[in-house]
Amino acid sequence: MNAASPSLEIKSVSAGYGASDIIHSVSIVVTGGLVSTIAGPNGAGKSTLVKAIAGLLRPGAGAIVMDGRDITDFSPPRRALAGLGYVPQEQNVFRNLSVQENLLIGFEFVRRGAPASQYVTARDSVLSLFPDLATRLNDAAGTLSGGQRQMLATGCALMAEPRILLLDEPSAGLSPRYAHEMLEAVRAINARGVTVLLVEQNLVEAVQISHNVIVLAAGKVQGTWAAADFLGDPTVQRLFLGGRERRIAADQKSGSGHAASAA
Amino acid sequence: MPQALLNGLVSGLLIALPAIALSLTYGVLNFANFSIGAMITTGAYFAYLLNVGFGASILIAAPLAGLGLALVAVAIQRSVYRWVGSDHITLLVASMGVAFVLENTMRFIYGSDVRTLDVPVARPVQFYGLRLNHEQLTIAIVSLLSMAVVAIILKRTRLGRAMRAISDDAALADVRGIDRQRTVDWTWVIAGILSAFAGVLIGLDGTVEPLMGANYLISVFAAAIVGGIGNPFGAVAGAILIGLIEETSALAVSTSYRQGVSFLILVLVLLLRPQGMFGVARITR
Amino acid sequence: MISYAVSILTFVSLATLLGFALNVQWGQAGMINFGLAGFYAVGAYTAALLSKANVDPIAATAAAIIATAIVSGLVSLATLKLREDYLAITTLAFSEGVRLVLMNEVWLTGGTDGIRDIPRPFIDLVGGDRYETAFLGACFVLILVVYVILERIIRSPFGRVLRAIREDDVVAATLGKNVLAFRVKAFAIGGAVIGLAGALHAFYFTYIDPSEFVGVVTVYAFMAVIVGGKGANRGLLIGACTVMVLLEGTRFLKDLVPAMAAHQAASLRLVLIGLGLILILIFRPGGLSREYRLRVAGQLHDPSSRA
Repeated sequence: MNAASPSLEIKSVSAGYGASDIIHSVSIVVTGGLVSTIAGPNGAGKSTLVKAIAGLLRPGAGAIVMDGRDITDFSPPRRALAGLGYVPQEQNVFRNLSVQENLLIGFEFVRRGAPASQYVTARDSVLSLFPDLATRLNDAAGTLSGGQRQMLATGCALMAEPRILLLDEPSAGLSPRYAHEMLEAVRAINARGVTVLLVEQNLVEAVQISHNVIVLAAGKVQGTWAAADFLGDPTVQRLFLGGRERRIAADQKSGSGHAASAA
Repeated sequence: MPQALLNGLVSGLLIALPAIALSLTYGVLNFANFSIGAMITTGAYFAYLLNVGFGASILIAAPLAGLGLALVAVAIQRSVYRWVGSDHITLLVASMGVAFVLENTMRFIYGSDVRTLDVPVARPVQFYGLRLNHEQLTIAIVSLLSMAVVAIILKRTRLGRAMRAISDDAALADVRGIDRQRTVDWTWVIAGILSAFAGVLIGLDGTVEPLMGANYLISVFAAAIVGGIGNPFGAVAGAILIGLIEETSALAVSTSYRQGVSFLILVLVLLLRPQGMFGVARITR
Repeated sequence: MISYAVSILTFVSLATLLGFALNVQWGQAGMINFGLAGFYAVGAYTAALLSKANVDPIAATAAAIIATAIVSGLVSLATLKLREDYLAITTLAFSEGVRLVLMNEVWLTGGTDGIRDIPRPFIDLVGGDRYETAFLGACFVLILVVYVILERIIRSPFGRVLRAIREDDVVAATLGKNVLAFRVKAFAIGGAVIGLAGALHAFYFTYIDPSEFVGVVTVYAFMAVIVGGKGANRGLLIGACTVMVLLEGTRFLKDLVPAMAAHQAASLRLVLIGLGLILILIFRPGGLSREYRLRVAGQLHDPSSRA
């Protein structure tokens, strides 16, 4: 993976529902091999942006380019085939199908024609990442807890061997333990060479596993920071960090260390 | 009474085929296909054409009729439903129009007289004091075999998983790489074959006429809804239940009200348990 | 020729009333009534039976209106909380049920022979020759009256709530409106207009039987509403009239193609009507579909109604 060439470029994208746009001329460069987090307050337009990238929403203006290919007009299945993996925030598993079937589906349409052995390899790899799922392979996905569904959804996206993984608030609504596990899994996924674009509210944890943080507010990009500098930056603090984050940032400033892993 | 139950069971097996078709298209396309009755009728006429018109044995005419109706169904999907938009109300109304066109095209070509398929006559089977005539036996065998094939497709093939996935969450299915257009086409193929088989089976009883499918419309809908619309396996259970109730009610009520009984069951289910027995509920507004 | 024109226009008037009714039920309140023909029959038979029992025609008409309104309200109760598809099948099934009763309860309805010699209202006042024209005139007046009443209802707070419910009933419910009550009322109001049309039908044709109340009637009404623009009564008048006149013109088909037998022409006509409905849906859905809240990226997609 060539870490220098951008894997995903969002070029001046504006999008919305109906007459007015929610995001305006947003430009983001997601560098290959790294974990980038999009942060921003509620209503900033993060989920609109994610849907535009995933292909569920057509931008009114701008382009989305992945590995040099313009995918702006690609339907979601085509984007999946092009190497984009997407984990929606909610409604991210097929509730009436079993865990096993969900994983199989994640594999068999994007990697049509691949031999069964590759399926088994991919599945085992996912199960080693999310061991909780191994005991529930035959259960309907709807019976899983929120955290397990999130893991399953991520696993399904991984089954397709995506080059870029797009995660919409993976730790939202999860207990601290699951949230932590989830974000650690993201770190591990990135370590395998997958470029990750993350939208997160749970900033402190997300920043720890990211390389870059992009702030979106009021539908516009407010700036990009290296993860190490993010929490301490006064602009960031002014924008939207709440009390907890400020305290942690203050702690960090006084030297308790920051652990952004290198690519 | 036991004879009525047996008749009801067979009748239910017959209704099960279009009920499965209805559930499948409801799940994958998210609309209630009101042309299912007309599809049954058209399938029966296709078989009539091959069987009586060209002299083919019914064993050949029926599968060919299935293929024919499958092609017609896909053609309708690509020429009508695809262009009408994906709003489920629009599709609903469009299927009404399709029903009109299909039914009256058959009437235009064949008139309203009752036609009969050319099938060998056979003696009924008797056991334990119950009677099962040849048509009923055929219905049971064809229906059970068809259901088994559909079950295998749904549970064990990629197409089946695609259909179930789209049924569950169409947007997510897109994201996971499933080709919606292709899956939709194949769903219509299956629905077409099942409906044509139902048409032939109904026709075995001796009546092929333009309203034959429409006469079953309410029973088929009732079966699918009782079973839980969108759930093809539930549709089978629903169909058998409807068949049993219709036949046993004939003991108490005049047979011309058969569809009325289904209507009442329909209303009861909708009032008390709208998701049916096994409903995958997408039923509330 | 004139009497033929009068007869077409009368038929168009009845269909327009049905269109108005469907416009309230479906256009305003979003409730699909596939069984319109059945409710129409209820109105017609009520008026016919009462009239033959020497009930005054105005009273008979009022009874038809009330009976159909009540029946409509009751039927709509069954599926109020559910998706429109369910009301569609329920109303269709109801309509079938009505037809079955009409055909089988011979003691009441005359079965398939129907009811004959329904007395025409005020025939002694107007006289035989000009009766049909006068009747048409009365229809026009009634259409106007219904139009005005319905327009007032549409513009009233009641109408606004209906439209809000049609668009998003969750929102409406949280605003404290009793969604069920509104829907039943809307359906019943539509039913009342259908009842009126039914009574007029009985008085005009003086003979009714179950075979008249079939699906074509329902399709006509749907086409009128779609062409006219869902929810807009004014457009309905113009659009429906055009559609009806064109369709009624197809009755002449068999004169154009002499080789065709009468029954074939009838079937062909119905095929064309079905095609007409489909074409109208493809080319002029205006207002049919709910507004999508998401613009879709190149696929035909209904993101709002999954799982």
